[in-house]
Amino acid sequence: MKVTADRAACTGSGNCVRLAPEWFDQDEDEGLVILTSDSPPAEFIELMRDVVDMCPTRALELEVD
Amino acid sequence: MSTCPAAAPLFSMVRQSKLDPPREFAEWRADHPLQRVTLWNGQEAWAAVGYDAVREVLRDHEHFSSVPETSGYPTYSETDKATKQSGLLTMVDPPVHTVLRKAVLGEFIVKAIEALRPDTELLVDELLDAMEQSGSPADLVEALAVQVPARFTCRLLGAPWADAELFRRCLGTRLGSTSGTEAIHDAEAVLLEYFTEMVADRDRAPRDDLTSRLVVDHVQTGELTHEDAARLLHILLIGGFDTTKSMISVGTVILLSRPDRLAALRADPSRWRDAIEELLRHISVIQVIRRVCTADTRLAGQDVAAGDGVLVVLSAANRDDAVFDRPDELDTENKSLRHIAFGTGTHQCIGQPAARLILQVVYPRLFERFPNLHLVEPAEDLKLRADRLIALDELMVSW
Repeated sequence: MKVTADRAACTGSGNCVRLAPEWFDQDEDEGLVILTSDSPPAEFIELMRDVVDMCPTRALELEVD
Repeated sequence: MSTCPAAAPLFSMVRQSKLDPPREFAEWRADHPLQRVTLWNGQEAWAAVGYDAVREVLRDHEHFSSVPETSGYPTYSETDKATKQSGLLTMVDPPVHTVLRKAVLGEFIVKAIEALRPDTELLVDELLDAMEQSGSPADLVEALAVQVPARFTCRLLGAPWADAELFRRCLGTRLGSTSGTEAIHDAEAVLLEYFTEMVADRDRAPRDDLTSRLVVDHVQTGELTHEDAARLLHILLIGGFDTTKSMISVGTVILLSRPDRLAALRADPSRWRDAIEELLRHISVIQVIRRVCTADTRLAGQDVAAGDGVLVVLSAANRDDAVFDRPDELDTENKSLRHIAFGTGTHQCIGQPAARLILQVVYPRLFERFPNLHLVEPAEDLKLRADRLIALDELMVSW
């Protein structure tokens, strides 16, 4: 599983950071998404699906192997 | 199915049951997640009442504009008129919206808001001290629900504590049920003047606060005007005030009506986070937001034309049984991961980390301080207002 983030589309809601702080962060200047790891272990697939689905501006994408 | 097209049903916020959205929203949703409706003034518009349709509208700012001056922009009731001019940030589209939002976004990132937790705990404890000292009974709205957001906003923006009273007074008028149009405009003017002065002051002598960073990084660089900055501060105050106030007061009513849930939360405070998400879903304090279609499109099986108004009913989306099991029940054990009480799309509430922080501090402390807290009058007698916002003007409690 691989997660990608489009910072140009990000609106800085912080949803992903709240739901999955192990993999997402926000930079302190702009508040936009930073991936701290782009390959969460497979057991987190449901969480990642929810995080991607709940991104308000569809800035996250999930590729499943 | 009727063969003769019936007139579009009237869109009304009138509730059959105080704590639930109007029943017709669920009835419409079964056939039409995007329902043609007649508005209070006879105009027709769409009401998005299905979760997917609501998300689709809010995430598509290319087709659905937030600008009230756009032809066809809907008004949901007769009282939905007076406060349009204050909506910088909420009532603009990208790219202008993007510039404004980014100017303050760094202040609302999860970590930055989390850093305000100790101060938030202190200010809540002070208010609970004062409430305890004045004695039972008390009006929880006056003692706590309006004070917390007023003071938190002072802390956030860098305003003196004493000015919480000005915020409280002006916003009380602005969003009061009995305020006339002129009084509302006067209250807005006072607040705008206040923030204009605050911006000018930080321009001369910056401090370590949100307002100064806004001025130094975005006004002094020429990106925003002084007026933009003042109006941004104004909308940050407005956006966080009545919403938080209602969550505190209405959330308390709901929690007190569920002693079993409350007992479980008190026994295991780690459950509060999920319970608060469920309260956010269940209450949906902002019931409806407005958009207007700017280019013909297709949505939820309907042709939507440029100039069509859309009422986006968050409270209906948050009760969609296709997404939430037994949506009308409050299930504090359920992880309401998917609620959209803060909206979605590029306009999703910028203050949501602050709202969560405040609620995570207020509820546990309130019920810890007053273990015997109860309502003075039965919940069914409360004067809950359910217009665009859910609101309680008074909540007498004793302990």
